[in-house]
Amino acid sequence: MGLIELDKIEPGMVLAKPVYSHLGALLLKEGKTLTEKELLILESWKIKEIDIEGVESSENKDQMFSGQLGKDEIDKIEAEIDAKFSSVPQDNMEHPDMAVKVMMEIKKIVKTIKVESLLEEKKHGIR
Amino acid sequence: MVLDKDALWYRIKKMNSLSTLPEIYDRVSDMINDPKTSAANLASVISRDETLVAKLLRIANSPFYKATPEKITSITFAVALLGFNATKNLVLSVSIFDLFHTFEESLKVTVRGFWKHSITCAVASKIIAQNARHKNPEEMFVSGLLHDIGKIVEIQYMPEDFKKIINIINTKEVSMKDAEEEVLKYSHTDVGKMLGVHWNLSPRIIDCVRLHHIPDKAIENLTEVSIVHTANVLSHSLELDYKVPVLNQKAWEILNLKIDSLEPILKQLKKESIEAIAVLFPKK
Ligand SMILES: [Fe+2]
Ligand SMILES: [Fe+2]
Repeated sequence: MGLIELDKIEPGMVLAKPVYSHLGALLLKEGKTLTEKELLILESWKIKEIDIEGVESSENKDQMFSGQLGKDEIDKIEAEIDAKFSSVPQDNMEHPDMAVKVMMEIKKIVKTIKVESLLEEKKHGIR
Repeated sequence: MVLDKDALWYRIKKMNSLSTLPEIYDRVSDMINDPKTSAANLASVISRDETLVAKLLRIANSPFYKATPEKITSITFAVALLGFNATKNLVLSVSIFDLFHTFEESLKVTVRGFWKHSITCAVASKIIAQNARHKNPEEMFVSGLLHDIGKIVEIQYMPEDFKKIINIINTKEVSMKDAEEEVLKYSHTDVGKMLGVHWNLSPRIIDCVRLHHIPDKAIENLTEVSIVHTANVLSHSLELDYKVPVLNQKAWEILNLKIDSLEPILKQLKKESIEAIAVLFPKK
């Protein structure tokens, strides 16, 4: 999850937080996958930045963490998590089994948590 | 030396430091089983141990354990508010750490890792219990805390075998259970169950210890076993020191949790487990 400026938004990204107009009206719900249509809405309401889901989608993570975490650091976290969750299918696969879906979700959340705590540690200069 | 299960049982009974739970826990248990015991009686017995009282109050008021909004300022109040059973579980949760202390230097890191995992799983069990509207989150806390207790017996009494087991896990990428069976012919769940029976723990707690890797085998305490099973998966997911075990379908179904609740649960677990480790197993 991370704030992204509007000109870096691409179709396919998922909203991590709902988007409100400056008058407080709900424009887009949390979890919404952005298509051209949503981009138009954002543009017409002159929204400057929005919160985007998913550090694991490689298209946006570099932008999200530019100046904070390097790509190699994120790759390292992902590789470690992939190895420990080796029995869980990769993120982009569909799976009918509920328990497997839950494991995929856990893996995704753990990635976010690890990235967030690494950022946190950096901010406080622990590393 | 490899022991079969009978020999192990015999050995557990003879292990002097393990043969009884901390004395205070036994006394509290006995008192609770006696219908004549009043809350004041119980509180006064616990109050004799000042260190224990300090720890109990600290934990009873910690966010990672706390089930009530009231500030608990005295043991009398704790007993009145929590009830007998929760008090007993609380005593067990703080005194269990005193049982195991003689370890060779080379195993200190392993032992610390063991308790960190156990405490994380305790907190996870409590959080899941609350999310699944289970009526007894304190008992789930202690069940999670004890789920792998068999491992500490292996570490303490069979250190050479235990090192072999860890070696197998690291080189062959197999589960703890498979590695244990290869070396010992039984697993930490068997050892833990024997210990639980010997200590006279509640059948619910014993089932959590015995079945946390195979929750679908549970008959009577399916919900409790499923809570600890899921808590174990979540704990390993955050710890990432061994391969993360796979969630059992039936366990997930029985808890009836929403997939959306996983993120808040994991975030709460991360935060509260750090606090719980700092309180229950501080670095000396
Ligand atoms: Fe286990
Ligand atoms: Fe475990």
